[in-house]
Amino acid sequence: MYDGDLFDDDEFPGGVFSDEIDGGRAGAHLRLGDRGITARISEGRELFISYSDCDLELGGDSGRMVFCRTIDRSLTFFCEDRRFPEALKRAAVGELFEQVDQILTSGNRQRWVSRIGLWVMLVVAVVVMVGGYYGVVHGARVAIEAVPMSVDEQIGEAALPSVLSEFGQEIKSPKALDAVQGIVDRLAPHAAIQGVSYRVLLVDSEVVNALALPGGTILVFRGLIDEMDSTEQLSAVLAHEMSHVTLRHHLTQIARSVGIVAAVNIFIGDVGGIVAIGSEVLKNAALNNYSQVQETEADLEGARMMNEAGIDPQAMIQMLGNLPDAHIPGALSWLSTHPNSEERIRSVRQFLDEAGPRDYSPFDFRLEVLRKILDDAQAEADLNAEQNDEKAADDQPTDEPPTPVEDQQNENGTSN
Amino acid sequence: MDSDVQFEISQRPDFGLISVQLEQGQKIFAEPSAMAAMDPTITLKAGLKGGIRKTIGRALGGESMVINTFTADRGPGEVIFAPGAPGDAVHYHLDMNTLMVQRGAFVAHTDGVELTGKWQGAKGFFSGKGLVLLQASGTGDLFFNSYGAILEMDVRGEYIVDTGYVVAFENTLNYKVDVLPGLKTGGKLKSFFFGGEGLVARFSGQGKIWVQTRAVNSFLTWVYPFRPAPKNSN
Repeated sequence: MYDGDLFDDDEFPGGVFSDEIDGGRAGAHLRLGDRGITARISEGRELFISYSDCDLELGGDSGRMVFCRTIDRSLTFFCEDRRFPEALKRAAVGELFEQVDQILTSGNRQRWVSRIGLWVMLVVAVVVMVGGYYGVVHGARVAIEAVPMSVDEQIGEAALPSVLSEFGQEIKSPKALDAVQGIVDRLAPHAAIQGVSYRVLLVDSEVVNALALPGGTILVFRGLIDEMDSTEQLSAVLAHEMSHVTLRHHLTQIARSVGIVAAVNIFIGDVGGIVAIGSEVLKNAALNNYSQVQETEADLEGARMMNEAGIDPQAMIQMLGNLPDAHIPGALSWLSTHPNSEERIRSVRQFLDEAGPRDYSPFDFRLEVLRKILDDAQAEADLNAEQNDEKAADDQPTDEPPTPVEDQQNENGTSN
Repeated sequence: MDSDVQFEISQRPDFGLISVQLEQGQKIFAEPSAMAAMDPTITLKAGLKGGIRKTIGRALGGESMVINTFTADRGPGEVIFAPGAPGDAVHYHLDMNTLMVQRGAFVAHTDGVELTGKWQGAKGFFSGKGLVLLQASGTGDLFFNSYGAILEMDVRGEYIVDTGYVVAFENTLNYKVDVLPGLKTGGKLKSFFFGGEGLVARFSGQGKIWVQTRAVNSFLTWVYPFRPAPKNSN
């Protein structure tokens, strides 16, 4: 093993290339004498290059190795010790002064060039990555617009059962559904894309939330209907959710999650895999997790739809303004995914100022009516459930719990 | 070339196997799982070797942080090492010098050799061979392996090797990563963006290079179309 400290000032660890030795090379101790460099290789053999014959060069993997060659290049000494060049200058007393300086400055210059080169490359890499990101985002948007709406519908259908099971029971009150569907139908003709079939589902959950599945299924939570001040505000939420559908925000989110490859797959028609992946991603991440840009887009598009449908879009601003004041914990879910209300209100207001006012006609039913319908439906459902329980208890006089039946139902439910 | 231990490399070049004869008390250090067979006179100790910096350097160089030490404690004996990749194995005797070895190619070394990683910077980034190469220095024996057979080249001046085929080189050589000479600008851009096709190491100086006769990436590209396609359930 070698160690720089083991050598005196004038002896350095290094090596030799020579055709005269076995294998053409050997490790050597280089000693700087009065007239030249002596290399001691194994078994006491010594080789010598005089300073006057010495041709210096810098190289090696580190770029710091000094090569000392005879002019006919038959013998080469090399050394990577950092003290070697200076020692060589001192020992050679002037003879190699210029050569050493020359190789050292050129070595330094090369190191600087490579260091600058590394920085330039890093900058280029960052630019390429950032540029690539925006390129991909833009490309995804173009690709998504080319995807038929039926893909959205398939993804929405595939995700619906698990979404429902996560958030709660469906409220199957035809009257209530008709009322909400009526709002949607009033907005639908003014949507950005025609031919989307919107379907409203009511979810029995106290959470203040509404969400749209790709393809046009809109889930409205009981908690939202309770929290809104007017039918117009409810319509603002619906318009916002419908805009997520027509602006294809789900596919954009899915594409961002599973990558551009998926978008390309959709584009070339491998839909089956995408529906599977898409519904999975949607369930886990994309459903209530739009980007802020998408939220603002949906606000503006929603306000535009309301305006054209003759619904006062001020309700959108009221709705957005209402949200932060909601003190019920359930409101958080909507808030957390719909950040920065003030900013959003400002952009909606600006849009409305530009669009100008129109003649607006109010809805012909009040939100209280809808709530009443829902309460009645709930009471009815509770009553039915009670009766069913009693019936079940009558049918099964034993103490055996009715779990097997429930399990079976669950299995049937999930397999659909 | 002389050596500190007696050894034999058999089954060359397809599945090179390194048999090392240790005298009593002699040691050899090898990557984990390289040992295929050994005499019962030899004891094995696993551990980190060479301090934190060298250990981490090795890890960055694509080797295990742990190095197994085989000592002929109870009398002379033989250890047989089998490298991971199908291919040849090479013995190199370090004589106060340094050898740069490709990621993962290290198999074993004797006492007196230090093994660590060496940062390659931009060169490593663009070679597609990792940012860190293994660096073996000191005096002693080193065994490394290749994928496929191996050619030993004695270079004087310049020599070009595709980065996928470089196994090891003496550090008296300098290298730069370059695109294949004569490639058009479009081709250069393509190789820059699409992972190394046509990237070469341009060596200069004097020293030896070991070049393997197959490259792993090329083999994978060849095999890829034959892989079983994943079936679509449902």
